[in-house]
Amino acid sequence: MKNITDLTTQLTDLFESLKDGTIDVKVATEMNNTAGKIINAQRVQLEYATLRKETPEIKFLE
Amino acid sequence: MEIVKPKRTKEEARAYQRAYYQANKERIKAMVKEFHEKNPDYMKQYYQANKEKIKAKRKEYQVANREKISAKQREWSHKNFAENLEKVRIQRRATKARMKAKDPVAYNKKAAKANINSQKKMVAELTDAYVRQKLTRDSKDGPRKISAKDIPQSLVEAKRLQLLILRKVKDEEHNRSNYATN
Repeated sequence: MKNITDLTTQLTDLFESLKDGTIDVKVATEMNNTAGKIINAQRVQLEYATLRKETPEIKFLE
Repeated sequence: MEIVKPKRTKEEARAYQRAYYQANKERIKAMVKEFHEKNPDYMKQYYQANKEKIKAKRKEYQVANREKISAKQREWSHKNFAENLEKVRIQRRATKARMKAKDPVAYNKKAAKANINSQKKMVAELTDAYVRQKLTRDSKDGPRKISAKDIPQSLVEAKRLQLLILRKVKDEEHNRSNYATN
């Protein structure tokens, strides 16, 4: 997973698998939690840039 | 000699009046203008004398043509909103203030209900505003450090999907526990 687009694609696939029942709920929960952590990490980077009054340059979000 | 006027039906009379107006448009307009210049308060006095009748007719028209009026208002809004944003905002504020002054209890009740419904809709539909709110809410470390507009749209989309999956997982777990108890 190199960037936010990849993450979004994987989350979309995860959602479809959950709807179809082709993935275990526990596995889906853990994967979703991990995605949440990745999203939070980007938010923290944005907060850091804002507090330093800099323009954020986050490769993951490009 | 007795002049016999032709007997007309209502529709025929209207058609005759329309045709007469079209044929004498400029002359009639000039006469009307001259009359109003000589009697500037005529419309005000007429309204005062027939207020209830005019209001009743207006209400009757509004009830009978609700869809048509709403459509016209929507059309005006779309056409003029962007051009007259400030003007529309001032009008809306004035309308709210007028309604609040008229009946503050009813106004506050209606506003609270509308607010609750709006919040419910935001949460149910996972609107951009709601997702941005979730991303920028006060963390355990303290007050929010970034504003909603600082969050890029791509992050909002990812968060929305994450929330959808979370809801789906909760649904699945709920269904399973129901099935287990039954």
